Amino acid sequence: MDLSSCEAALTCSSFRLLENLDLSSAVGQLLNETVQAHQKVFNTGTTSLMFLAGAWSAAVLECLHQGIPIPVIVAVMSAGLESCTEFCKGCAVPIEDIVRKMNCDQGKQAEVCLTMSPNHLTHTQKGSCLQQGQLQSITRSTISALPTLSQSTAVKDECLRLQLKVFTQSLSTRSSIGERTTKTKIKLTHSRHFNSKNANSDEQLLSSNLQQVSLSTGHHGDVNITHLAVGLSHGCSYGMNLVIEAYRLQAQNTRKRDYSLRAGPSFDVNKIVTCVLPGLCEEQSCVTPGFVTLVSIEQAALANHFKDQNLRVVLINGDLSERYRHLGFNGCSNIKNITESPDVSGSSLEDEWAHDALTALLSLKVNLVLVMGMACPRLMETCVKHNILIVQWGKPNVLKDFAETTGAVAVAYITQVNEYCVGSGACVSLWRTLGGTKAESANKVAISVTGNATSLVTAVITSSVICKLQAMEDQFWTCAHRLNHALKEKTVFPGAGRVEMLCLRYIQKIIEEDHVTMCNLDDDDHTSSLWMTKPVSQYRGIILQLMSDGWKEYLATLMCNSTMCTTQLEAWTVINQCLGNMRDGVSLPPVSTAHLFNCSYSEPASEKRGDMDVYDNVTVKVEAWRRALDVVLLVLQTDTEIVTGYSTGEAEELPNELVLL
Amino acid sequence: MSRLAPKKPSLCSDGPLTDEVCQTLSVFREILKSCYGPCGRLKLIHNNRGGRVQTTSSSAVLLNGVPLSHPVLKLLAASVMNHVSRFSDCGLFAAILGCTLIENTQRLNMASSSVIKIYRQLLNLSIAYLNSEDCSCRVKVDFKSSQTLLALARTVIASKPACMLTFKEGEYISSMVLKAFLRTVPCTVGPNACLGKVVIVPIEGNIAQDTAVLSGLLVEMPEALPLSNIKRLSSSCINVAVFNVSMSGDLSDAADGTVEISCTVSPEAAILEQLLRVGKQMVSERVGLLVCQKVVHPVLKQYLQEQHVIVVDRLGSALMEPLVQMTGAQSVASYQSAIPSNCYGLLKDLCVVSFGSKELLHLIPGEDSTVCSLVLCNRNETTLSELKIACQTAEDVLRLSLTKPFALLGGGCTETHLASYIRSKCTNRIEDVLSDLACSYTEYQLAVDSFCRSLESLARSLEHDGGESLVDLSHGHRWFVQASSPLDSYWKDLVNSCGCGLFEKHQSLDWAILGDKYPSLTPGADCSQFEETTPDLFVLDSFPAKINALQIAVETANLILDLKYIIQDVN
Repeated sequence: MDLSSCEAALTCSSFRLLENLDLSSAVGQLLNETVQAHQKVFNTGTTSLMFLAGAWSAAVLECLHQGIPIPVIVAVMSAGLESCTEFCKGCAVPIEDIVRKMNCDQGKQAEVCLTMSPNHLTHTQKGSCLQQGQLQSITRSTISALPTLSQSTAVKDECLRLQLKVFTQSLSTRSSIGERTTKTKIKLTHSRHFNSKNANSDEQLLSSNLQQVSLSTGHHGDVNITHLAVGLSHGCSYGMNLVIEAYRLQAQNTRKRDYSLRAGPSFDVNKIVTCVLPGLCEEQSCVTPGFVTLVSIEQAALANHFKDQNLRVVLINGDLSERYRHLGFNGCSNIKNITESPDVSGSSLEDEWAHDALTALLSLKVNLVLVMGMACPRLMETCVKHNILIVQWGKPNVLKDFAETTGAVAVAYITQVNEYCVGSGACVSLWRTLGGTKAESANKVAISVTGNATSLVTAVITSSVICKLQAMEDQFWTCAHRLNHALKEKTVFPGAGRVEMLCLRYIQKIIEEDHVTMCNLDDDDHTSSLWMTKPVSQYRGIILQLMSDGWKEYLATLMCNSTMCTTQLEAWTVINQCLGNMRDGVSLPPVSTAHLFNCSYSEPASEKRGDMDVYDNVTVKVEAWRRALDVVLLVLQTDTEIVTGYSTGEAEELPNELVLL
Repeated sequence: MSRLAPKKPSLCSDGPLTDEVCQTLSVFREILKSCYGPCGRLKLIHNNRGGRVQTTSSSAVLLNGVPLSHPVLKLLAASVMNHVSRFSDCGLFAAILGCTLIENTQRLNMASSSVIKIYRQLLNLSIAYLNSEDCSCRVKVDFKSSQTLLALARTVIASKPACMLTFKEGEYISSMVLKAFLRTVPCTVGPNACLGKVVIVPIEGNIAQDTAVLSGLLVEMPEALPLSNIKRLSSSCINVAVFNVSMSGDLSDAADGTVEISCTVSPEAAILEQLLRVGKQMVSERVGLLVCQKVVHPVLKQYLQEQHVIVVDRLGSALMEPLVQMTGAQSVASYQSAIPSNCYGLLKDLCVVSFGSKELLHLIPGEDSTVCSLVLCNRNETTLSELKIACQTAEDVLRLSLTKPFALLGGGCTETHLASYIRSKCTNRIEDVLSDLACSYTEYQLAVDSFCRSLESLARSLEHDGGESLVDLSHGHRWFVQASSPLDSYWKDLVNSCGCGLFEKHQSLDWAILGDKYPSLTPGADCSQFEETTPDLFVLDSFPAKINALQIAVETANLILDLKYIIQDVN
């Protein structure tokens, strides 16, 4: 909430949160920079980054209290994380395994679905009932999913508002105290389990729903990802539903285009755009091939008229107006235009330009103009009369896709259009909701524009609550990128805190081994690396313990937020218990991933959540850890803050403890 | 409406080194000192209006980014900046030594003119020693193996903790810098052979291990580049035309006057016509790639792309020189007339490379080109910019090693060694010197002590966590003891190896605390030992940079000590 302008923003991810905060302290800004950089590269995982930055800065502070020298903290922590990362990477699960497992389970699950809906069992033949029954159960499950979905989001919003407040408060107290080490100890719940109260039921519905969807399409490529995607959705079934739909559409298109060439799954995040439609209720959200955008009523009528026609298309990568000049063109200011004869026609430059533009378009028989920027309203009006549709605000990747699929070449000026630039094969139609009604809002109508066999898809995100749209769009993108990373890397981590559990166990093992070697070694230090002198190894245990406490806190918060445990205390107990079990069970080095899956810790989880597997992205997670630690250590090593840019007048008002150079 | 204010008279202040100035100077010194070395503390620089935050420990950023108020500080900073612009390395060394010398001298309570003379004599003595054959704190750079060169690069990279590199990453980056440097050395030595260029391409967001060296240049991908164009060109060499003039269709600047143009004439169209004429010429002369420093008009771009010419615009001035060097083209400064045919350059090939999500067009030169690109990756903006500075410095240090093939021992060993050398030189048989300088023996000893203590305090300032620095009594190297060591143990139980890594501890060595009085020693000239063993993690500093930094520091300190009046224009 901005008190001065009464603007409010609703967020559910830390990067938006930081974006909307006024960060005046240098450390806050540094944190923001790190989070934004992570967001830019990975588009997901920022919240765990921020949480761990907070938890580890607490650990570092504790180290300082115990009088451990800074270089030792830096060395031990970064080495600890590095070996942890190496270890965890070895435990990542290849996607193929998940897929294989799912393929085995598939048949079984389908049966389960059917028994759940006894009505359909009247069809005795399983084979035939599969198709029909699923269709019905799909609709049924979507209907039943609706109330839970909206309910859960409402709950989530409530939490968010609270958390935002807590966060700003903690930030302000921090800056006022002027603490040296960054203290971003915010109880920011992990986004994954925000809507966890209903997550279980949601996910089950989602999965059964989706599996059936993919079964009915009958292609292997789709079956593969559904389970994985559900595991990656982290409770955000709304977003993932759309992503899976987008994936399915893209896969279909790819197959259509070059069936012989590619068989593997293909998922191109660059070919997804979002279109936000306020005013419709949430269940209208869907994914449509092509580019969905809002146009005026007159244009929509024209679009309707164009239905099923093959259109000739021109792409403009700039504004479509008389004033527009390409980047880098600086008009001369000292030019005077002199007219020898008085202007009789009275036409302005703009009219002339609009006339030229129209002539050019008509002579090339163009039906559709896709503009990256804005278009001159008067030209748009005239063009509608001449059956030319002008669509504004196309994103660069949309233009690129149309250039590829229609063969058009993007140009900067309408006057430079020639035969070579015009593409063909575009289609325009009115975008209709699932119910078949037109989508209208504020005199705008949604239309969809498609190229020939394009794999460009638009996720239409709708909500009747306008302030939620941004958060929903973010969620969608997060899901899309999670799936994309997973498919690209071909491996995933076992999720739901199991990787963190692994780290905890691993660090504990290092500490124990250290203890043993310390006793054996005594004075004889033939340790190789420079910083491993005796006092360093004394501290090592303490530092690593504090570092693993950071992870523990993360896990505990995770469990609390996902209502596995009601209090932090309970969560800590469960974690410690589980750690003990792991120690008793097997010695860690040859630990198998299979064993981990059956770790006693996951039992309370699996009871509630059914058989759902949760997965995390490998690189995203590891990088988030590394960046979190980097920020903490960067601030740890900083001893002076230099503020520049005070004018002499301001400088006199500064408090005395500051030194002027 | 403009207003005239009367000019204020200039301010003249007497005896500029007041207590207040000295206090500011010591704060300034403390700031720089705490940045020094691989364990140095970082500084957050930001303005109070929410601008960019820089985390740094390098002198170039600190001195540039922090505006100083007092003329004495400005003078010091300016001479250090000048040193940094020429030698890149050892900026902090020069600044800290300068400050310490001034402060130590203030405490001496001697006439500054005689101190200055003594300092100058000591400086000459030091430089003569460092340049002499029997100097035992320098090593010869061995160009037959990469070890010394790698040590030089590693020392620079490791001394910038704000890069946030792990040990492994640091090693990797050092080797990449060395690789890039070696690419710039021409294979054949002709009469006008010259070193090539390393162009650093920073990429934010990727991990440091993605850093790579590629021959040739990397430029931004031209938008909407049809891949067919590249495939077509790959078979043979590519003609390149290079323009350094804007081809955006602007009228060339008409100075102050006004141009009057009739409405029937469109200047834009006229210029576009000229541009297209040049374009036609290039197409007919089989140019495959047009590179423009500034913007190319979209119409010309479209025309050329239709004719399968690749257009790269907005190259920026920094890349122009290496491009010209690499392709052998001459940059064209006008499109009004036809292009002379000898202006075209040649490229071997083009391809697209991608780093993370970023795609770049790779211009591949012929075999013997000395231009290469160092693609630097780091996780975020502030660590990347620090890494960029570090790599630039490392590359300059390697270049400097070609001018003088020596390296000085790092890790504080050169400073302590030099101090002990000066002390031993200046205790006996100095009658000639005293008569030359016209000062008493006591005065001379005081000044020598102040000079040596300044050097030693520099070596001590490598330690930031309360540890102790020792000096051994046979080589005069610096050794390090951790802060929390038990008091009753012997030095030899606590030390491991000396600062530069040259000596391991052995029984015959004896130590004293650096900074205390220790028995005078004549550092043995046992250079022979060096050639046999070179340690794995050798710490080496650039020879030319350090000598110049020493010179700059002493001379600037002398200059500031010599100041009598400051006259300031306050308007």
